[in-house]
Amino acid sequence: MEEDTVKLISAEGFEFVIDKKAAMVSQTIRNMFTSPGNFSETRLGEVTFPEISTPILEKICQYFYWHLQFARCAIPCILSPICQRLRPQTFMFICIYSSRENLCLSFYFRKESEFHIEPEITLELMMAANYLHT
Amino acid sequence: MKAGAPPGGAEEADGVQELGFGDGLPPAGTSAPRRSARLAGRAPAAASGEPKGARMASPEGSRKKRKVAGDAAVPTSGAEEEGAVGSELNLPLMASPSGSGWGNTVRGRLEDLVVLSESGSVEKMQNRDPASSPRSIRRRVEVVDIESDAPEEEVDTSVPGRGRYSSIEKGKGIFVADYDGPLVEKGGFVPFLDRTNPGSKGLERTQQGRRYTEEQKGKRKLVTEDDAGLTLGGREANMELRCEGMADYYEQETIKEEAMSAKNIRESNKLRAVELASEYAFFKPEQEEESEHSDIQDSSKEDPADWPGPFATAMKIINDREKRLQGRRLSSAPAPSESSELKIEWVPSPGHRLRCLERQAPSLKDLCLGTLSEHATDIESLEGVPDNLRHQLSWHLCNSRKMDQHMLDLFVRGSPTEIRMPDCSWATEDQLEKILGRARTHRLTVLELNMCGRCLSDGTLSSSGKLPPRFPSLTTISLKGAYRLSDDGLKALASSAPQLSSINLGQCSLVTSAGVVSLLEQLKQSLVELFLDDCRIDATSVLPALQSLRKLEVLSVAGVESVTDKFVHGLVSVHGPHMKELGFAGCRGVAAPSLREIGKSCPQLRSLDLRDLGKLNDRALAHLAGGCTSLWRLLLRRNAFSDKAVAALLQAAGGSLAELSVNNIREASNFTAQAIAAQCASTLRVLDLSFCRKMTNEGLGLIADSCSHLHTLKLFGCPLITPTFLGGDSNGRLQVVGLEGPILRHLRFHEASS
Repeated sequence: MEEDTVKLISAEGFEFVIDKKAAMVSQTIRNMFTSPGNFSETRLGEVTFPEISTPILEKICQYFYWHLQFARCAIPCILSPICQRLRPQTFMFICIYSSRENLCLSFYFRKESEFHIEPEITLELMMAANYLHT
Repeated sequence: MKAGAPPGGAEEADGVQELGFGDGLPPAGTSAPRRSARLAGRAPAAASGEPKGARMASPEGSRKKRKVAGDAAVPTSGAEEEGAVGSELNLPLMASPSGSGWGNTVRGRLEDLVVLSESGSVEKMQNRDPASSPRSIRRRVEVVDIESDAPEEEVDTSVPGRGRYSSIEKGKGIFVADYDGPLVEKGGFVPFLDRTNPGSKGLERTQQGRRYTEEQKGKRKLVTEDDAGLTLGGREANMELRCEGMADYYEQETIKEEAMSAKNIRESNKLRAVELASEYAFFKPEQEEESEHSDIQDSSKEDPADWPGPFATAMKIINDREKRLQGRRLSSAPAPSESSELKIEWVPSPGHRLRCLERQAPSLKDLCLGTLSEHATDIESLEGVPDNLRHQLSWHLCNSRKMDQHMLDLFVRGSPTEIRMPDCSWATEDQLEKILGRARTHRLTVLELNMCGRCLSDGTLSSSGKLPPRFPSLTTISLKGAYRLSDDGLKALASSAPQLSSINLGQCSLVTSAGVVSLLEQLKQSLVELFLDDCRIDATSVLPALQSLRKLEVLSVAGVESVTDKFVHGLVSVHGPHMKELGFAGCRGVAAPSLREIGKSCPQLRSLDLRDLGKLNDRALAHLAGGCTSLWRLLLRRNAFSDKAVAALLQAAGGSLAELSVNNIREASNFTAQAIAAQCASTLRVLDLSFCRKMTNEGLGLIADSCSHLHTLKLFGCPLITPTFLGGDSNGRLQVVGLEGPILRHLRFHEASS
């Protein structure tokens, strides 16, 4: 797992080490790492963002993980209409879906499926998200 | 007068009960009921098949019976009964003076019951001699019977009693009974218009009493059926069941008198009525007469094979494919298949379940926009925010009705390059003037004030005489819905924004042709895009000014009624080579010749809007396929094209299509689906297949699987789509709108702006 990480460096120099899969949520970062050519980003596995400040970058990393969680813990299509009609209280779904390879058991917490954003940082976060194409 | 049908009438009684003839019949005397019973029995609808007498009693249905009842009632009941009956049944029968002469007088006044399908008012009262009138032969039968009953007020309806009226009555009755085919005339609405004199036949039979009874029964049955048919036809198909239909029906009926029970008749009639009703229920706007020149010019090309090259090739390919499939199908299975449809084999891919389990998480940008919209009032400044984000933010704010003066001020502050307000309906004139007055507009390149009718007046955007123009760098302005903007305002605008290259004057109702002409004169050198949707202008008078523009590339005259083929011809002959977008939605004067011109002269056309045109046909598509091969957007909503023609067009010219709308093209089905899947697989983004009733799961599955970039699929009104498709497509990003769930969720930002 250690090899599958990337480092995101903010404007102040803080380094955030996250999973490569999480970083791939951002189209920009994905393009950086998958583009042919010998870029330093690809070699070293780190990207610098001189215009994104630290708290913003931290929030962005949190979003990456939330995104992965969201996509993974999907409830079956059959149940989703039912869920939409239920009130947004904390409840737990145990969804069991089987693929040919493995049997997965995942939990889905409806309440925590929202990604909360503090209003103060929203504007900058939006601009950073726009840049990162995420 | 709702007396129950008297039970006395033996075998005829059943008819009576159902008929409810007791209504018109006086309770006096058994004979009367029995007579009515007989009459009722004769009344077709009531008797054998009709379960509900009430039906028969209804005015439209049982005209004949009414009459009969009325007749019957006359002698027995007396004035009031008859009057009651007559009034109830809407029969213009007059009270019969006396019993004895009743038959004659009544007969004389017999209605000429003509079963016209349109309405019950067809009944014509004609004073005719029974023998002389051939039209009412059938009716005559019944009536005569009644009449025969009439004098026998107290007499049982026994055979001998009939003998008195044998010649005419029985003859007619038998005639009806023996009626096989000839009586029904194809053309006539009344099968019994036949002039054949049945008298002779009848006479023979009627000699014997027993025979008579049988005949009577048979006759009754026949009449029953007929009347059932009549009644049913009148009731169920009172939406103009055609006379020919009735004639046919009668023909059939009389032939199968024994076989058909009334119930079957009712069913078949119902089906028939349903068929016919749909034709009448569908409202066809007045048939557009073919324009003279279109007939002349298009008459040369009749055969699909003669159509211009790529289209013909495509059509050939499609036809060959269909033939091959048909051949295969015929050889393999004898199942009858429609020749004009293509069967697509598509099964949901096995891995689809997993893929569709992966939901798309909302992007961070969208989440931020949502939060910003919620806390809009806390925004202090929009400095540094790039234009596209400002645009999205203003769109969200306008949608959620949070836009106000303060917010607008935020957008205007600084020295913005773009101000886009999709919805200015909240603003008053003062507010807007104040805000725009404060704005530093020297860098403004895009000004969009849609729905600004309330707040935009002629002077709002003018420079008010000052020398440096107010909007020196403005290139794009959109003033949709500025209903207070007049020609003067346009002139002022043109002078304050000399570099305008794109003007959107949609729905500016006060703008006239003269104003547009002067505007075009002023902006002759620079205007590239012009939108005149729903303006009340005369296209022909604007045409010369349009032709004098140097760089026109985009023109939309949707909804302008005066656009004709000549206009299109004139426009395209000058600007055709560099025309990029054309919009003729709702211009009903545009027909196939226009498309021929477009196909011939507009090779660079990217977007073509042909929605709601009534005169286009497949030939027009052929012209288009020949010339415009680089279309990005094609809107064909509500046109009368066939499945194959659309498919051929897509095959020939659909290589780069990104947005396609075949909304409400009735015939679009599997051919179209296959062409889409084949040609537009890599480029298609938005597809609108709403109201294509014949679209199947297979076709849609094929499209969804092949078009990987498809992100919006509109499927309102497609009844054949089942959850098989919904769960079965492998495209994770696909958003299907219109089958279930909220219908506005597809109105994301990019869609709204286009």
